[in-house]
Amino acid sequence: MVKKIIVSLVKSWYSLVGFKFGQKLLIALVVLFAIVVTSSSIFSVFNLNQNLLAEYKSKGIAITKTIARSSNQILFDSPYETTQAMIDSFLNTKGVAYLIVQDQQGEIIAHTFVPTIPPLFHQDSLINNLDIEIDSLQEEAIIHQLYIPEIGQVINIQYPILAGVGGYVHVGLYRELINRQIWQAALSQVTIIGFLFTLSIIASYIFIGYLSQDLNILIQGVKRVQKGDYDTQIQVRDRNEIGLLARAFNGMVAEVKRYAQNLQQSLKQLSDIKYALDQSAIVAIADRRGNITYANDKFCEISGYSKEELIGKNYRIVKSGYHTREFYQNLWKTISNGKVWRGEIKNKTKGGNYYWVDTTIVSFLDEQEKPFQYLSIQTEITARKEFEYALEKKVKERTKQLSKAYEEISNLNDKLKTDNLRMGTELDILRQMQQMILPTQEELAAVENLDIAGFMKPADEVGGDYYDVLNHEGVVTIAIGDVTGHGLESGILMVMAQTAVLTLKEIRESDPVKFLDTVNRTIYHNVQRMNSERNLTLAILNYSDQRLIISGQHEETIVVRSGGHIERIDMMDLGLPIGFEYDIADFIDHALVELKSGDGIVLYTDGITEAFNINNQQYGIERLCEVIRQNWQYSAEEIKQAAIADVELHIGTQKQFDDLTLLVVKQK
Amino acid sequence: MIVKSLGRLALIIILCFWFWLSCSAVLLAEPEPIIIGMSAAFTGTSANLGRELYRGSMAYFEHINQLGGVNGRPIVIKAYDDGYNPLPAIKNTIRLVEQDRVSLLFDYVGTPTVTRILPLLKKYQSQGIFLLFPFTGAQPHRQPPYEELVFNLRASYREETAGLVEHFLALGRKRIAIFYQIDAYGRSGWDGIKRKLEKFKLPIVAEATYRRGTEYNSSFLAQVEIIKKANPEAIISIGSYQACAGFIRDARDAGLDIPIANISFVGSESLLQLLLETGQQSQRDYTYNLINSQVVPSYEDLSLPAVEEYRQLMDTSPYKLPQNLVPEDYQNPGYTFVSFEGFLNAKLLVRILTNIPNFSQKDVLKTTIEKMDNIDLGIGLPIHFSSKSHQGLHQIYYTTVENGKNIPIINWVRWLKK
Repeated sequence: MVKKIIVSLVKSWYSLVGFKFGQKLLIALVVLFAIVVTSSSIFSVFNLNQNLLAEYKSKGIAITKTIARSSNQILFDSPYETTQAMIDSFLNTKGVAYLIVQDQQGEIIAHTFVPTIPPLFHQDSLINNLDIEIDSLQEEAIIHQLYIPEIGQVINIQYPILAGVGGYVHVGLYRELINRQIWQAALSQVTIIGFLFTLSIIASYIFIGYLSQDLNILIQGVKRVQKGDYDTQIQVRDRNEIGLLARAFNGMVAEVKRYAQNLQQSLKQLSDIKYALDQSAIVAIADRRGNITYANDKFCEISGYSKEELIGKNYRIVKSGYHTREFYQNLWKTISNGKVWRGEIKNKTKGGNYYWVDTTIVSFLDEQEKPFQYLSIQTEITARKEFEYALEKKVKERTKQLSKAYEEISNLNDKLKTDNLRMGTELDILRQMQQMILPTQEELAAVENLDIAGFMKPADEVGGDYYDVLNHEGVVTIAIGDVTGHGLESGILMVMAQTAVLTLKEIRESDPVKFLDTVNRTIYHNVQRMNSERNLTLAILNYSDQRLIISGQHEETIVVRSGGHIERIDMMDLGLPIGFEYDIADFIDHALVELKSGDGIVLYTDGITEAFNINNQQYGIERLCEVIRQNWQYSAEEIKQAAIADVELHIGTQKQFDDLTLLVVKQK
Repeated sequence: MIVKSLGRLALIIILCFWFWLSCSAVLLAEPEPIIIGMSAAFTGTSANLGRELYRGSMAYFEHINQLGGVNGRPIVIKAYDDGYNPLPAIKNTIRLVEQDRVSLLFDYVGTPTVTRILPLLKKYQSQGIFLLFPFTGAQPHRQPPYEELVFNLRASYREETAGLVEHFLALGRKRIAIFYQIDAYGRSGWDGIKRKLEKFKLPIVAEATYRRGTEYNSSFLAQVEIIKKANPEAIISIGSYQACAGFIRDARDAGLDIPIANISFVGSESLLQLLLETGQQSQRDYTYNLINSQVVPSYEDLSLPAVEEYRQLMDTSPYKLPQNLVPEDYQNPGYTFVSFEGFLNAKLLVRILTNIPNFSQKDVLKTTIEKMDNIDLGIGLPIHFSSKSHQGLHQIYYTTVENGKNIPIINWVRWLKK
């Protein structure tokens, strides 16, 4: 209670002088006081107990001694009323509960008990069984603590009369009274100490208040600085430590001002960055255990949790269960080693929906280079992820469909294979026929003025290439064509074209336009009938008197001069594919080439130039031209062989996909 | 000059006036009274004793003073109240001797008071101060070292209690319990009973005490219980009238109807009055089987000349109580044993003082009394004093209550143990 009052006093004093330093001092004083009061009270009670007990005992002894000595004179004549009167005169003494006088037989001859002698004194050996032996006679007080039900706790002091020969005197002292006095004394002591302490506290308040004036100026200065007034300067008159402190303070405030400005700038930047980050990304900070300590609005928005729900919770709160254990182990292993982790994480919202975030987690390291918190910056990629997922799903679906189709096709293929086997035999015959309708060596050698060599090698099946050399009365007609595709249908179209050319040669048609137009219409009709979509390129070259007229759309015609110089004639504008349109007359044109001795031309199909080697590289026209140029001094046959050899070298082990046709014509 | 002669004139006038006053005082003086000092209980639980004793004595002194006093000198009692307590008694005694310059101390009441002033008497012995006829039967002033300073008229408590014990034993009542005041008075009575019983090798079967000053209204059930438990055949009470009456009341209420004896100091009339009042209220008789020992004859014994004289004086004399000690509700109690004793004390003192012309010799009182023998006060017994005996009477009288009155016991047979 006293302590409470003092504390409140102390507090009110602070508010008065604002002196915080005194607080601890005063609390220490109060605590000290409590210890002093407690210990001194305990000590006092102990001491008082001893002293009062001793005092009362000596008082009791004095009383008994007085009665005993006085009784010496009168006892043996036994005027008991005198003894009674004497003990009565002591009954008013403070603390005396009773008095008893026994004679030498132990019989009580005077006492002060009302209504009668307590039974204890009838039975108690202390009183009644007094064996008096001469040797044991003594004049000393015997002190007992007794409990008498009628009276209470008493101290019984027994004193012998004439060393016990005359009997004994007893005085009983109230123990309760002594105890009460002890407590009263202790209480008054505590009161006095408390009063003095209060006085001294007040005195110290005043003294401390006097001392603290300068300190208060200092404190007020510090408070102003606390509020951000960095222009504060303190004026303290003293030259003592407080004065020194004040000057040091003034210096410090200037420093603080500088730092504070820097800090403010940094903080501004930081806050801007943070603002930007918060606007753009989902940001969260977690402690080393993964408990969320910060989450920005975007985090709350996406996760569906409020900040209150997030702060303090473990990051697992948004765990979706989508990722494997190893995924998270890897994540933790990375960041707990202080490294930056990047990846895409699928999280779960409060409402149970999922969202994907592109995540970067950065560890913040403490002085021991151990991470103490983790910053995660995330951007949502749910839409992309969903798209990817949809795509993947579609691919899977298609793959499945395709594998099914493939199965069907294989089944079909198997069926076709047996059919093909039968047809293969028939196609073989067609191929032989194709070879057979090509101009023979003799026919070629019969052409005057021209050295001609031809080559045709169909692909695996029936080819679509065609060439022919027709000589009649000095006019040599050279034809070369290429039917689209392979197989039976192409082979037949090739035969048709050969027949049409041969027919027109027989009727001496020399106008290239009419010639090609007629062939085209013939082929077109047949193609329509066959309900085929195939067509062919066809070039017709008419030679007479060292002049060569070239018409029809086909591969470039290579013109080689006697010295090996090569010219290439583009055939694209000289006609249209045959069998494609009904009327191509308007599209047919022609080119004229003068051939001197040693000059010549080389014709080919795309099977040559587009032949693939093992590395899927085409043979190409340049390489063809080069090999022709290098071998041009040789005969047509030799040029042809060299070129074919080079092409076959190029093809190597690769499959031959298309028919190879080469025609070398050289002016003699 | 003028001032000086005026001062002388004034001095002369004052001196002449003083001289005239002194002369006239001598010429007009009445005979010097004999002042006797008394300390007694005029208040408290034993107040009736002091009042009655004073009243009895004053009745006789007034009578003597009207006849011209003793040797021409009137007798004046200087009385103080001690309330029956030792310390006031001591103070009163000092005041009487040292301030009031009394010639002797007279009519003191009570054992605890008298026992404590005895050492004072020793001190004032040199001044020739003696205590005459205290109203107590206690032993200390009847034996050395104080016996020579005190003269008693009445028999001792030992004699009273011994007489009671003897009668009870004769009646076959051997289990005797005692109720007593826990002080010198009670102890004195207790002592007397114990001694007498010891002669017959009998114990006191039970004893209960009360504190001096206990009032009638207090409960005495605790004491009654203690005594009842011992199954006694008779009880002797050594106390004052209030406590003893209260004890009797509670004993009778508790069904204890054995004989209860009181001794002279109790004041039989005061005791009886209390019991009668209570009996009236509760419609019960509390007065049966009561015995009282007395140290003076019954004032009902009209055969005695002293009784006749006493009654006459008490009837004619107005009550006289000391100033400031008269209670508001005071009523005349009529004839009482105590006032009769006071009357006898006064009559004896007058006889003694008659033989003393003056008190110039300091031992004159002692030597005069010790020479007196065969004094007849009209009570049918001669009174003896000697240097060896300072007690005038040894006779014990017994009374009981019948019809609301204290009457002498003629026949004890009714209390025979059945």
